[in-house]
Order: sequence, then structure tokens, then C-alpha cells
Amino acid sequence: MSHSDASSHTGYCIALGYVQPQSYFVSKSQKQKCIATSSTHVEIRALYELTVNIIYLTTLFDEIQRPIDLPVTIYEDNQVTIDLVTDSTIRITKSKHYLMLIHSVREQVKLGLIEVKKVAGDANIAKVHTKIISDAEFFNSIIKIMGLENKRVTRNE
Amino acid sequence: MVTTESIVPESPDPGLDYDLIYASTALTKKLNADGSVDKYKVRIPVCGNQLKAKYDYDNPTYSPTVSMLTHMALLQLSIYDGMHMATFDTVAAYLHQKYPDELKPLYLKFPKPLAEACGIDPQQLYRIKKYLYGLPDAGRAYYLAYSNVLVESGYTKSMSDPCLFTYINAETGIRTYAWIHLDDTFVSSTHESELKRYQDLIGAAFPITAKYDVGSHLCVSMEINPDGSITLSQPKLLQQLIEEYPLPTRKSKYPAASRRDYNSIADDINKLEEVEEDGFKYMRLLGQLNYVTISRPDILPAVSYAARKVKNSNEKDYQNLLQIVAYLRQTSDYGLTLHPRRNIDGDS
Repeated sequence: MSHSDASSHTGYCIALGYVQPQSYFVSKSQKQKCIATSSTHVEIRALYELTVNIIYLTTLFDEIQRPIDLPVTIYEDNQVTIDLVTDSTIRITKSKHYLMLIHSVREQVKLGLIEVKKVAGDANIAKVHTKIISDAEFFNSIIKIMGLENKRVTRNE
Repeated sequence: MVTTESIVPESPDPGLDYDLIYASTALTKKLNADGSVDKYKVRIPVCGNQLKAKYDYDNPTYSPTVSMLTHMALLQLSIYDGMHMATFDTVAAYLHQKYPDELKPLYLKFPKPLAEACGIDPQQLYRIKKYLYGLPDAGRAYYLAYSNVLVESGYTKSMSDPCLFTYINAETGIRTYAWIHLDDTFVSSTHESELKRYQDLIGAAFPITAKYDVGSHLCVSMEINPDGSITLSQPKLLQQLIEEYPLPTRKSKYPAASRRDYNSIADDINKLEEVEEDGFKYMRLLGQLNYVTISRPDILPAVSYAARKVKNSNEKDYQNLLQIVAYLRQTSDYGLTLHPRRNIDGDS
């Protein structure tokens, strides 16, 4: 819970290509409008927003006849969320109130548009978009997000 | 020099049903990168708001602009595939479209001080033949005219974004994408000659200036690195911010001094007596920083958190914003870098 009115914060970034250095051409950091009741709810909502954008981008790339390889890989740090959207045999008991979000993402996984992979929470660079970070980890992440790994950057003190 | 003959001196026939609007003046100073004056620019827009105030203007006025997501995705794709890029800028874009005859005739009158300064008769009315800056649907007329030219020459308007046009030659495999944002057009193509063709095509219909070394687009400068990657940055805006705003009282090398400053629950809603009466300076700086996030995703969360307090800000919140400016001052050579494709195949 990051805001005083109990809403949470969504953060994600999108890159093209597998090979480092990648450049994240879309970054988003936004307070969620809907109050989530559990951390899984937060993650599913963020995942859903990202999926919507990926659907748009793949349609766009299809239309300009430069299709991208599917599925698009999403790195997610919450294991419960991954299980919920990839394994359709899970019986949903505690997530009844956001079934629509789960099924919407699940459908895209089933159709082969996206695949959701686990990434360790510390290695998830999108973390800088959801939290205010003030330590060395901040620079490690933003250098990757801004694609500055090969470029020498200086700090004017 | 472009002459458009947008208005002609003409008195309306007696009994003719027409609308009268006044002209205004807009003066701007165009600066060079080093701060010296490049040129003084005068534009005579009309007061289109008078039309809106008088009656519900029944001509549709909506004009689309390219979405940021489309722009960034296509820019990244062009760099990724190593396509040739160019930017085109239409000169005096809104002045070339004919004002439709079906609409109620419009007459223009210069206000007395302006007419005297220009040395023309203040009583003379001018019939509006072509669109002028300030008319409510001038942008729409320009967009429609521009897209018609493109569609007639074989470009396809995209379903996803009304501002994206594609030209794909199935035989040669040449792909050309053009996306327009008001008078600015960004074109990328797999083949260099297509860019020239595009220039000829649009140049026949509109006066345009072309730049083949993509230096800047939409006020974001693009620097091409030796390895083919492109760095986006907004040096002018950063310079302006750095000069205008003082250092914060607390110092930190991060955009946010600490998570607690932004995050503490007690502080999130300020007490009423602590709220600054004039939140304008907070909003102004916040708006500028929001614009910087186009090329600086590293300050995104800090700006996003700061934006929650736009309605009830106080001095402490303002210091938080100054902290972001201080961070930009230290890291002014950072910029979002978009990379070309590496040897291994595969997209994600």
C-alpha cells in the first residue's frame, strides 16, 4: 500500500528485442484509480493494463506489416499472479471480485499473445517505477531502462 | 516567402447573413540555441472564441494528433530496423485550406489600434477565403487536407492511429511510415529514395521544409550515436529549468530525497492551514517536469508521486519538486537511448 487513500501504484516498461542493451521506449508510473484489496489484485490490475498496451502495439505492428515474434514475454515478480493467469485449473476462491481481469489476461496467454515469466523481485527493473528508491539500486535500474549501459555518463556534482 | 491570399477586402452585400470576427496579434521572439534573438515573429490570428461565444459553432472542430505510444513505438522500430528517417515541417500550415463556401460567410475586421499601426482603413471589412489561425476548425481542415493528399498518393491510413499513414510496396518490400502531429511529420522508410518521393509528393501540395538529419522532433532533440542508437533529450527545457529554479534546502543525489518525504501517510493530505494559497508555482513546475519525462523516465515515479498533491501543495512539497530539478542538474547528460537491433534475431 503506497498511498494514503489505500490505492496502489502501477509501473511497467516495454522494450523491443531480446538482446542487451535494450531500450525501454515506453515507461509508465501511475497511481491506480481503483482500490485493490490484496497484493495479487494490484499485480493483476497492472498486468491487465500492460496487456491492453501490448494488444495495441501488436495490432499496430501487424498493421504496418512488421509483425513481432509472439508471444511477448512479460516479466512479473509475483508468483501467485503468474499461477493465476497461466494455470487454468486453479480454483479461484479469494479473487472472485476481479475475475474479469484474470480471465482477460488468461485469454491472451491462452491465445499465445503473451507469456508471463517469473523474475526475482530484486531483479525487476520496473520496480523503480512503482516505488521511490533512493539508493544505489536506483542508478543500476535506470541505467538499464534508459539504455545507457554502453554510454559513458557523468555526474556533475 | 509564401503568399496565400487568405483575405480579400470586400464589403458584404446588403442583406447578406454573415459573421464578423476581429483579428488579434501574436508576437513571439524566436531564440537561437545560444540565447540570441533569431527572429521576431508576428502572426495575425482571428478571435475564434467570439464565434464560439455567439452560437454553437456547427462545423466539427476535432483534429487528431499522434498518440505518444504510437510515436515512441514507431521511433523505436525505425531505429531497431535501421530505417532511414526524416522530419518534415509545413510552413504556415493552417493558411492553405479554402474556407468552405457552404458555411456562413465570415468577415474580418481589424481592431482600430492594429489597423492604424499597419496603416490600413479600420472600417474596411475583409472576406475570409482561406482558413486563418484562430478559427475553431482550422486544425481539422489542415488534417483533412493533408491526409487526403497522402491517401490519394497511395498511402493507407492506419486503423490504430488516425495520424499514422503507411505505404507498403509488396513487390519491392519497401515500407514507409509517416505519422503527423499538427504541422510536424516524421517519416521513416526502409529505402532512402522513398523519403525524397514523400517530399516531392507533399511539397506539391504544401510548402514544406525537410530535415534529413533527424535533429529534433516535437521539441525533443535526437542525437545519433556512433553505434546507431539515438539519444533523446530536451536540453533547452533542462537549461531553462536549471536557470530558473533555486536549489532545494535539503540535498540528495536522487530525484526524491527519501521515500518517506513522498510516502508518509500523515503528510499525504496537508492540513488546511499549511496549504499555499497560490498553488500556481507548484503546478507550473510540475507541468514542466511532466514534459521532461518524455526523455527522462528516471524521474517518472517522483513526478507521479508529486502530482498527487497538485490541489493542496505546501512549501515542503515544493521543495520535493526542487529536489527533482537538482537531480536533473546533476544528471543533465542522461537521455533515453533507443538501440538498434543486435545480431541475434528475435523480438520481444
